[in-house]
Amino acid sequence: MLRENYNRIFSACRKLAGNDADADDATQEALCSIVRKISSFKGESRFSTWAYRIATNACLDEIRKRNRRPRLGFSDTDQSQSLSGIVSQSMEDQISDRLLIEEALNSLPDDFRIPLVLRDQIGMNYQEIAEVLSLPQGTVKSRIARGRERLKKDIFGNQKESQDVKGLEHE
Amino acid sequence: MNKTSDSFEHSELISAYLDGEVTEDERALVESTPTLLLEVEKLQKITEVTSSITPIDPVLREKHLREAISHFPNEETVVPFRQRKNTQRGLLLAAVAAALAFIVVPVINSQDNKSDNGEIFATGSVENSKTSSEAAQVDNDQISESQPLERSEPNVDSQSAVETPQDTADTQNNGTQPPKNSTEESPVATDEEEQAFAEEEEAEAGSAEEASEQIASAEFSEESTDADISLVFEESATLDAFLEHVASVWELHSDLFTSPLSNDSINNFQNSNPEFSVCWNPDNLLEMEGTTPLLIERTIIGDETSLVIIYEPIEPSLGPQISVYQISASCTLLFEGFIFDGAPSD
Repeated sequence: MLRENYNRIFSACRKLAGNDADADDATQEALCSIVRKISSFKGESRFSTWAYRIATNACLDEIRKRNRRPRLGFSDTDQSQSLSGIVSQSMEDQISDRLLIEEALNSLPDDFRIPLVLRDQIGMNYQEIAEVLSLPQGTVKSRIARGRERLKKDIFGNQKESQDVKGLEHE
Repeated sequence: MNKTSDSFEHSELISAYLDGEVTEDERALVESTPTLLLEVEKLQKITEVTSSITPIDPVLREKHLREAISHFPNEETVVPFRQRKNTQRGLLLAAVAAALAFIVVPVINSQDNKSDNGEIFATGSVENSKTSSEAAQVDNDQISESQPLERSEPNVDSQSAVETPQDTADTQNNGTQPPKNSTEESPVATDEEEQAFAEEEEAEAGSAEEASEQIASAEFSEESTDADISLVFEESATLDAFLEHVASVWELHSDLFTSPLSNDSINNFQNSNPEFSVCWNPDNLLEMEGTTPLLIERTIIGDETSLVIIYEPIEPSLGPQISVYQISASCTLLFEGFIFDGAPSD
């Protein structure tokens, strides 16, 4: 069962973490958490649903640990600006380039990326995401929308003013 | 409402529409507005990627899975005890209990009768001939109910062992006890007395069970001294050296590997070696399927603390089996095989 669900778990952890190194640790911790807690699985839901929930929490814990460590490299803003400059050359090519979109996703601040990944990768609904992240459901809805808006701006080179980060401050 | 707030509202509406988290009215609004549908289309292209699976590195996947699996509780793979152990223990207990019921209890009861109620139980020995016979049948039934495995298993040994107490009872009734009709003549053989006697025998059977376990432990400790144990489980530089040593000890001291471990022995080992807890779930240790453990000890192999379990042979010709687990980060099975001929094989 672990093997069957590995790809989705790794993919979610990779997108949640935003980089390969943290994804490695997060995935490992997620899988170990599933194993350690396997006795608590009562079969009341699908194994994958249960496992994704465990994995999500484990990944988020890893991300929180990471965020408490000093960080090196470019800031999210720098990466985003750089990405926008690249993608503005050819819209169609950029859309088809999944790596570019993944880069854009990775460049999103955690506050936007995490609820978006939980929705798109894990398939959680807004209420479930709100429970996992301890946020109001309206905030989850807002952050997912703003994350997508920001991705759209990065990918399509939309030059409209983005209020995403400012919007977070008002939440 | 200004343009910026309109933009945010539309973003949220489109996003929620994609996620199926809109009301019917909101859905109708989106689907009836071409500009919103265009935005939906753009977001859909992005969502296709954000919801897709990241390419997987197979090497990394195997590393992750291997590490995760090492955290599994090892109760199913590490100490594979077979239920046959419980069966054999049950058969032994049944035989001991039945023997005690027909030999010890009548004597005790007879003495009690004489001292306590001499008048009433003046015909106690005659009376006991009936009650013993009937209680013996009750006793056999009780043993069978408390040991359902013996009855359910289509095992020749099991069947013969269950029959043994009955055979014993028949022999005693036919040989040494008065005929049953003499009991019927006794006016004191009441139902209450029979019930009391049956309860007494049941208590005796419980004591017999405890006694048999103590006997099993005693046999083991008599036949194998501490020196012998340390001879087997001294520190070894390599696994091969350890296995060779065990094989040579087997040739000289095969009595080390013949008596089933008692529950107490296993529990004591678990309590005194908590570092081995990664190898099993103590609650389930005796319920695991596998062969009967004859010996469980710790040793050092190549500077690593290791757990050694020797099991009874599945077939006599194969000799005892030995399993060696290394207690490092997890309980790793180093070796599993036979030691009968001194050349264990995987």
